[in-house]
Amino acid sequence: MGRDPAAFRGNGAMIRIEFHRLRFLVVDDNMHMRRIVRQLLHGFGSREIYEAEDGAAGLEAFNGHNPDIVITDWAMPILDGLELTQMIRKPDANANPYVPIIMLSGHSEKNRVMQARDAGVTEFLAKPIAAKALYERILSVVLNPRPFIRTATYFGPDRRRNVNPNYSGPERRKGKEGGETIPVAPLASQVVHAGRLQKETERRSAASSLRQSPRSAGAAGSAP
Amino acid sequence: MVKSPIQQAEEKKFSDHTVIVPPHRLKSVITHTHEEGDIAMDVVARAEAALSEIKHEFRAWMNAECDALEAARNVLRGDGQSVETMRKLSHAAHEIKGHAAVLGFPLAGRIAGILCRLLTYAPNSGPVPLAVIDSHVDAIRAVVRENIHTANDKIGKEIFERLGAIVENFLAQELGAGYAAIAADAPVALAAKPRAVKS
Repeated sequence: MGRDPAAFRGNGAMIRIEFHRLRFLVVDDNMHMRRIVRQLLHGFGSREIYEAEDGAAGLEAFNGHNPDIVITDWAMPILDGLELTQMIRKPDANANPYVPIIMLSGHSEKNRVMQARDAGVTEFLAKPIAAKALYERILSVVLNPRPFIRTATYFGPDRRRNVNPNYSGPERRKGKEGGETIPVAPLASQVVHAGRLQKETERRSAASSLRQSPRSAGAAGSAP
Repeated sequence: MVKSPIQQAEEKKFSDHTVIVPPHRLKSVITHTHEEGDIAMDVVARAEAALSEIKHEFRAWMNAECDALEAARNVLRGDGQSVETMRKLSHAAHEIKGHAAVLGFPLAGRIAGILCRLLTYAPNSGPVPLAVIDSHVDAIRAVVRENIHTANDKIGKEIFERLGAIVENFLAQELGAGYAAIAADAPVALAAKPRAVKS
């Protein structure tokens, strides 16, 4: 996201998200943080915001309110944010296992971010929270939904953000039907820019994802 | 009857994985407009304004976070260092690390960040010096009490750097060669000659 309005222009038009039509679930054991996130979402224009103070209550609220986007903390009693994500991502247990999940956490170490990614989190947002960063993550999940990948050990959004056609390193999955792993930058290092989002949205709408080759739509996996 | 997202998803199976394209449920909230201005900047500015409406509560919230940290420290002091007492202290420190800047006390957040680093990486083989923990807890309280709202306060910055150096020296001493793996993330550089840390 930049100051240049052109960053949001596609075919001469700007993109607006109708926040008042989005239903959020905010799960955090800290009431101050819930209030801050609620206030920011209100500022964006959202009106339907549900809150839960731990993972178990969050799961109950998820099943009861069917939110469009879940924003969850990591460290919480009873069921933490990772466990909540894994419960939501169970393909046969919930009505919408594809719901975008934004993890909001003070645990911003690289290994923690990778753990969150491997649990099925859609976006990671390191605390302290800022309006701009939260807006960018929401924009990302609304404009740029990623395909989901199911393997023996993973179910969640495609963990690869970038496909490098010139990659020449080891390919863990290469072999059967060309499925392979292509290294990606860690989630934390990927700054989402609206301009890039716009291009990505246009690219995705131009081509059906299922028509992608196995190389570009292949299995998720961590970088070798 | 409306199909569920699972029923609407398209799947393509490969030998060791399946690619699923869920329905784009949120597509309906995206609109295209020709209005002038920067919509994103306006939306973000509105959210920041909304947050500033509750700014008058932040000091009380920050004091509550400090109370929770002190309570966790006192339990640790009374019950000794165990997995549970350290977990509670670490949780309270993480809350401040994550929230203090939003509440207007960025320096308190940075000091809490050093404490988190200490509690995360200190080896389990020995206790973490209570004096070092106390220094962090007391410094965070002092920053709030003295209303230090900038990360560039001269005295506050010096306290941050000294505490950071103490923690880095302690970790370097305790972890030995293992310190190299975490050195790059140190908020304060390791002093040339690490000083012993007494509990």
